[in-house]
Amino acid sequence: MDSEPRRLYEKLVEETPYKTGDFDYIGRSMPRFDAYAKARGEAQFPTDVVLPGMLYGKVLRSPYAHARIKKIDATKARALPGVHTVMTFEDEDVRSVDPRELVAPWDFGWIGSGWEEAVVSEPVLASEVWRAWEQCGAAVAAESPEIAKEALKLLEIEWEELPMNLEMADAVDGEKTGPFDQNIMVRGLREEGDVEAGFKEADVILEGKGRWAPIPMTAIETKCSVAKWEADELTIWFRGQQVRPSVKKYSRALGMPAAKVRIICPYQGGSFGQMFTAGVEDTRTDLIAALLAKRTRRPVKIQMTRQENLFGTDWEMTFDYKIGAKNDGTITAWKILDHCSGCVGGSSTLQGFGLPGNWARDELKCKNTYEDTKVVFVNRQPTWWFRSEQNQPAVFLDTIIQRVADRLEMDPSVVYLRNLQVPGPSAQIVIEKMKAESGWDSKWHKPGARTLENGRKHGIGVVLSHSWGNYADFNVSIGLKIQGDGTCTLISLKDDIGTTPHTTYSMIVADEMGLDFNDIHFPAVQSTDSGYMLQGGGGAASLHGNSWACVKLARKAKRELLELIAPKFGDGFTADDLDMRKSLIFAKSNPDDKKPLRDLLYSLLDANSPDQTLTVGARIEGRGWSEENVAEIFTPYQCYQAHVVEVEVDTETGGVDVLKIVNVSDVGKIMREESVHGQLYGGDTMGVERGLFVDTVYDPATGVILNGDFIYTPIALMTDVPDVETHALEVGHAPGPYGLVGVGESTANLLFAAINSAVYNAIGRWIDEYPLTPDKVLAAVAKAL
Amino acid sequence: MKSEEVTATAGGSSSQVVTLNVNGREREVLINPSWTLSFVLREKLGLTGTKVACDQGACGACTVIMDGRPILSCMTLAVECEGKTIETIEGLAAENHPLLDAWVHTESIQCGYCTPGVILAAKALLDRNPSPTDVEIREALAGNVCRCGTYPRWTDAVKAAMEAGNNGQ
Repeated sequence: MDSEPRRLYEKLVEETPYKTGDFDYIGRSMPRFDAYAKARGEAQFPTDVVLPGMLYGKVLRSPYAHARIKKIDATKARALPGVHTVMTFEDEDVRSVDPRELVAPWDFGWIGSGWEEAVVSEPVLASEVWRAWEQCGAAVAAESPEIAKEALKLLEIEWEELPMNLEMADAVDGEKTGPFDQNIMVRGLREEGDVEAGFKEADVILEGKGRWAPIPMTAIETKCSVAKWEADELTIWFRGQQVRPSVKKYSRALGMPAAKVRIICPYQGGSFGQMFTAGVEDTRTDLIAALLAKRTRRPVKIQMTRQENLFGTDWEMTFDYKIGAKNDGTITAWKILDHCSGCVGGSSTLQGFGLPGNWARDELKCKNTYEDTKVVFVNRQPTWWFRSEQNQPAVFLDTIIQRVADRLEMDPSVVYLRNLQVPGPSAQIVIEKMKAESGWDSKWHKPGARTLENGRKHGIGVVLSHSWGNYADFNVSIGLKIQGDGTCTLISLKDDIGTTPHTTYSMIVADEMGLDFNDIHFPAVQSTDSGYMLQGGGGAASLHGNSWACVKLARKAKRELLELIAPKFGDGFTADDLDMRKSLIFAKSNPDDKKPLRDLLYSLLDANSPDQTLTVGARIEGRGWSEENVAEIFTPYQCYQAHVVEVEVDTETGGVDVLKIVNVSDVGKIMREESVHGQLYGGDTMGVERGLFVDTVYDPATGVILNGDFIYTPIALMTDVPDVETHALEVGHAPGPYGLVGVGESTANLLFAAINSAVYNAIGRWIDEYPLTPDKVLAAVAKAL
Repeated sequence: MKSEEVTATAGGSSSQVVTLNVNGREREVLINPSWTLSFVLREKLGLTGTKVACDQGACGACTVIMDGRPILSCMTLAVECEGKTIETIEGLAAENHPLLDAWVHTESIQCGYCTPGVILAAKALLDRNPSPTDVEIREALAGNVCRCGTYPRWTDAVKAAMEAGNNGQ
């Protein structure tokens, strides 16, 4: 394919080839910059922000899943001592906020048709609600959270209840309960080849149903909005993921100059996609805090409770499938009819590259495929990615491989390799490593065949798929400031949700520039003041574009630095004659004669020189998030992962204990070693809870989430997860700089499938619905007997 | 130790002064009886190293040590803490407790929001059991949620602290 984006991409790859060795820092685990600040409790997160005179905000939550506020009277609430202001949806300042700016084209414009309909920007305080517990109607600022909460109770509201649908099956043909023309928000139809001919060609046909649960969104730090005005300048402390579009978004929504909006991005207590600004619930809270602060002329903090923080879920998916295969394991055709849940305020990435059949379509040779995806409007939490939109594609790909292998009594890895269409050695090497490390060949047994001494059933399962790093947004920038003592500060706004990207980027700059790692620092907490911005975390992708920007910056800065100091190094020297490694300058003609960078710089960048620092900036441009660019460059299927899980199943209680996890992942290129392993075992931890525990349960009468907290949403604890054995390989050359690929998302997207096949191996009966809770296990055991 | 009067707007006529010994300093705090210990530590004493994540005693992020025992400060009313001795992460940081180095060097940290609570739970464990087994470590830290999934590093971290220094005493 010949195009400008493609040429840009190929040039970047050419400039940063895969290689082993030759690095002082890349590939090692350099100390993370944020570690001591976090261990000492000194790292300030948004929830830690306490400002002089700060008030506490609370927002009304809907008690109904679909309703309209006919009348609201705030007289008593305003009269409560300690209340500073009560604002309602009827107030002019609230109505003046333009909700369309909350979801703007520069943010997610590439997602394509269906996006606008699916998201629908709600007013900052809506009078009509589409789900229970939605922010709506009114907000309060008071001296304490308790007073604010009490004031909300004093609001006199006349509600009009409206019909609702909670289940997709009811909504498909039922009464319209959303703002759209029908309850099918988006439909994705994909057809390739001749499916019926493919089924005729098959020796075996498999048919069935399945369900993927709507995973509740549960980052550890809840959403927090802090806003403060100084005259007409607004400062917001950002709690989220993807801080970059915030200034544009908030300034346009509030109708004020972008130059007067300042965003500070503190440390972030995780996100996993929850606060990727895809939904509007959390961004609305920031604007509500800004409005309350403007009215009261005091800083305002709105801290969501754990229950309030569950403002979104993954898509629930129900599906019917049909698969055809030959006796040798060759898949001849597949068909999937699926429904995915949607609501106002969420997104519909399933319309784009996230269709549930996409992994099967991209990875397998089979070209007789049919998929009909319907995103169904239900009066529930809005849905979007939670590590990530690839859960549904992983479920379906695994269903194909596992069920065919089982029916034909074949090893799943054999079926996978037979059908894999992507060239390269990665899959084969990963599978061999997986077998060696897990003892697969000796441990795998016929389903239901092994009973342990304690009476429980033993099972072992595997899942195989590609390492998935999303595309990168290359429109990023970063600066570097070199001080007279030879130390450097990296400057760019970049939210860190836990992977310490600031450390990794500093390792890249140090290596590319020839600096000692101890001479470089990249503060994690920055603001919009500098103007430089990197892509926020997300999609296991930010390392791509951001790393290229770091490489470009380092090479440019090195050149400028050498030009500055060449005359100082010695008579007749030019920048071309010099090189630098670990902050020591030397002539290429005589590498043993080294001079410390700081000695040369000291008199050049001193207090009396006009430039007390050497400041260099770099940017990467030319792509951006467009559907075309994504389609052209989205080629991550060159690195593979294999996860093996061993379980014990108690056939009397239905309990499943995970005994061991072996995770073998080709990551293309290891950048910071411990960060890679952290993503692998961290993803597996989430995979355990997705396989065994988490679901979202709604009260059928009211639409309220019944398990909207950490007690009834049983997320994985230390005792639920065994020691995870992680093996990071560098087999393939993935499309990122130095041949890297992201792995943070695909691990969490895969492990649950290995658990499912392990439980099948233990009890000899498939469970079609996630999560594999004891009741489902017991039902399956009963059928297997 | 000299006591310190904290002037704060507690609100309501039932406000009262409570004396807490926090990290070796006596603090007198004017509080509202409905305030939790985590709220007082964070919002009134500025000790924001103590985190709140669930506010219902289900995640361990707010763990502090009170009179030698780990407690959930989000489930403890400050009014009940009169005269109590409380250790927070700031106290451990002030003495450079070996658990901090251990948590850093084993990379038991990702986003770091749960980290202070886990370290306090580990401190309480080592205080009462200087040589815990792997099982005892897992059981002691089983009440602490880490969404990043750093659990596989925690056992090594506690062991590293054990080896490093007599439980910091």
